[in-house]
Amino acid sequence: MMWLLVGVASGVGTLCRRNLTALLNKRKHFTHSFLATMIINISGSFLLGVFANNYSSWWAYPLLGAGLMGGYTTFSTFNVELVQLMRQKKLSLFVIHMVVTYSLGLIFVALGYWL
Amino acid sequence: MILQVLLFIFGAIGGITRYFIGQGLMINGFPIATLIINLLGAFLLPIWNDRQKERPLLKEIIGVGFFGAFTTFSSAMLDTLTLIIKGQFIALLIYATITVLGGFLLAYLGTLLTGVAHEETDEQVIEQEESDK
Repeated sequence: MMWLLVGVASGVGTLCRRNLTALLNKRKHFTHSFLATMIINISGSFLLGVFANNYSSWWAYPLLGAGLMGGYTTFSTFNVELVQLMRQKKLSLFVIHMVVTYSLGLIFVALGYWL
Repeated sequence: MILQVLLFIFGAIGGITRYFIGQGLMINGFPIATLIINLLGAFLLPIWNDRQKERPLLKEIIGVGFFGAFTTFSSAMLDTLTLIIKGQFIALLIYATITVLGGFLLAYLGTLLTGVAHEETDEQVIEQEESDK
């Protein structure tokens, strides 16, 4: 039944990601849509770090980690955005998106893990 | 509202697919499951997005819903952190390199494949227009 837990939480995570992206992109000063994915992936990494180390119940990781954060964060959209920035010749934004997402993603998963 | 329900359903299916693939794929402690899932998703998403350009609903529920939930950035970061903690630095190097370069290159390849198809159709359109004249 673990898969059901993962599925439901993953669906909720997907809705959080999609609606947060839509909400952020509606804001006037939010000029680059990839920033939403960046914020989502970094915050999701932080929370996954927290969930991975601080909860030991059998349901906690499948529900909050693999499910909620798995559905919330996304690797495919992130890389498609990188390709788009590259093809639009926006090289500085490409480098910013890649370097900031990976470095802060790793830093924040560690912060969450050892918090 | 219907969009939200469909996104939930396809997000759930994406997560469940990831869960079942992830179960069978742990090789000697090397976290290969997330790696394969992420590379597969990064390659397929641009192809899907291009194919469904005319159908925005289908494009979104599978692209944002299924592929978005199927792939996961946070697990890749946690896998990386775990390799650092365990001191498996060779595995770490391999994992990080394949994730960063492989993810980008496969997404690029996926885009390129669809891009090639477009150039062909564009040329065909131009040829058609010229023959019409």
